[in-house]
Amino acid sequence: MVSVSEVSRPIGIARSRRSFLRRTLGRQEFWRGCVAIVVFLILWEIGSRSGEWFGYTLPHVGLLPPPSDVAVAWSKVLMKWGYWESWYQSFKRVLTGFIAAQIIGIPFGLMLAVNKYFRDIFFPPFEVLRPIPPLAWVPASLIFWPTNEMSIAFVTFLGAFFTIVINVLGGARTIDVRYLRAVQSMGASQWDLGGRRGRRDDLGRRHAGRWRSRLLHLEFVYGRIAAANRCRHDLDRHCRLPFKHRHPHDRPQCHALAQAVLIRKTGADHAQAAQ
Amino acid sequence: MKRADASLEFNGSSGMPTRGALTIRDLVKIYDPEGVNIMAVDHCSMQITPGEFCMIVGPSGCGKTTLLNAIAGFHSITSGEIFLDDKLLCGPDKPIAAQGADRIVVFQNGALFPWKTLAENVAYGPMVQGVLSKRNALAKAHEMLAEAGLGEFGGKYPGEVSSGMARRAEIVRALINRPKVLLLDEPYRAMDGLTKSIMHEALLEIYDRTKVTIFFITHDLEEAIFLGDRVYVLTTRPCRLKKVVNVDIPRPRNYEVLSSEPFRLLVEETRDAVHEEAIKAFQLGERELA
Repeated sequence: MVSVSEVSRPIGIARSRRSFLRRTLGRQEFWRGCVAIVVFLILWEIGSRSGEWFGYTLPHVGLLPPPSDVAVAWSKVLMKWGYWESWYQSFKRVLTGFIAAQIIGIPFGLMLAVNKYFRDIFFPPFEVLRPIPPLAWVPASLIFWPTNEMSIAFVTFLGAFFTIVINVLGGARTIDVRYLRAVQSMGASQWDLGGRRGRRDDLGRRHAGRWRSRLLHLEFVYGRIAAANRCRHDLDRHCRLPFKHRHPHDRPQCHALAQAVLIRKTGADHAQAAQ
Repeated sequence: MKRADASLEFNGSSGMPTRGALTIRDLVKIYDPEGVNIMAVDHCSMQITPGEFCMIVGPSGCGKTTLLNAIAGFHSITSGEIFLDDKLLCGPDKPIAAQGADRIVVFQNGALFPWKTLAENVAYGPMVQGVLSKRNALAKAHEMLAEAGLGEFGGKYPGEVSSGMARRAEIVRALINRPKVLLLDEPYRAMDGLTKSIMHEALLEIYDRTKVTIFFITHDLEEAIFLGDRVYVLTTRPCRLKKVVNVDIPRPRNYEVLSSEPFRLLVEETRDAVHEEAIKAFQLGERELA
């Protein structure tokens, strides 16, 4: 005989998916957001066409092309190969810089968080370099790197790197002391756990244990940051999903960061095109 | 054997636990020795026998948690000695005890990792110590959670279960490491009366099964008498041992003992001792504020 729980589980999942869509469509804030975008486009259209319609060109906005013209122009370039090539090239540059920033920034931020000596040595120069806007690095990056592409990726890298390091450092340093004590109480030290465990006779196994412990510790720190992000995300979404069911990049900071880099990159592209 | 894995080693002939003896000798703890010099613990001595359910009561701020922190290795001591099974944890040449899985702490507000499921939380200790592989640790965790009545919840995250379940899982997470002493710092403080009573029975069931030495800090005198073998009443700051109340109510205990005469008398005896210290603590606080 099949139990009620076995039968109801898939139905429950299907229901929750449907209800999520229904909930989204039924939410006032969703429709408010849609209306806000539409009103913005209408105002932009009116502002851009002010000269044509009212005989008086509004300053700044009146110089912009109206969104309807942008849409027409966009529909024309949509079929051109060069347009999609530009997308590809832009994404490649952004992702190269962003991924490089993650690869270097996350371990660097963790090291700053867990090791006092590392922090004492590397944090001051980091703080000296951090306020420099990424665009101010453009002349230097042209000298540093042999190709234009690498220079652009480097500027993108800088845009993401400092933010990632500060986020990781902040997240790791706000870990509740209870969690650290719980971990230490269960036999792990803050960084090097394996060295104190003298139970293993075999040196190789001891080193394996040490590295596994270090990885566990990194997982602990990163997991804590992720949990903090999840809480923030939950507050935004008014719903709760287990972290394992989320996409790993489904975090507001990542989105904001990616958007910031993208906007910055797009701005730089436009500036270059204008020149 | 399964259950013995999570418990203590027993003396074959007498059935009494043979490990988990905690000796605190002339312990002194002064905070900020170069500055304000607040004496938190003043020559405090205790002798806790293996497998004893020891309850620590005293006024707020008297130094109960300082004692626990010294045993756990979170804080250093100024002088004195702490032994666990004749092994020196901390003393004159070693002011801070090395932290280890033989003394696991269950914290006041819970410290289950919110990004791990209950089973992953429980399996964390043996994994991080390298005692068990991930698969074996998880299997063991599920087994022990099932023994604690949480078999169905191993895959749930701490935020998805009730506070009582989370607290039980935390005790299981401690026990999987086969600690000699379980250090509980007011673990049921934030719970409502009903949940607390269920948790008491669950803890007593775990204790009757494992006979692990328990060092339990509480403000609740009824809780102290209901759970403990002995109640150690501490003085107001600086902390010293004021009185030891032997609780001779037979085990296993259930909630019927709460209405019994011996229970009432023991609570009164403890209350008298604690009340006196609470008044002193209040007066001390007023003097410090004045």
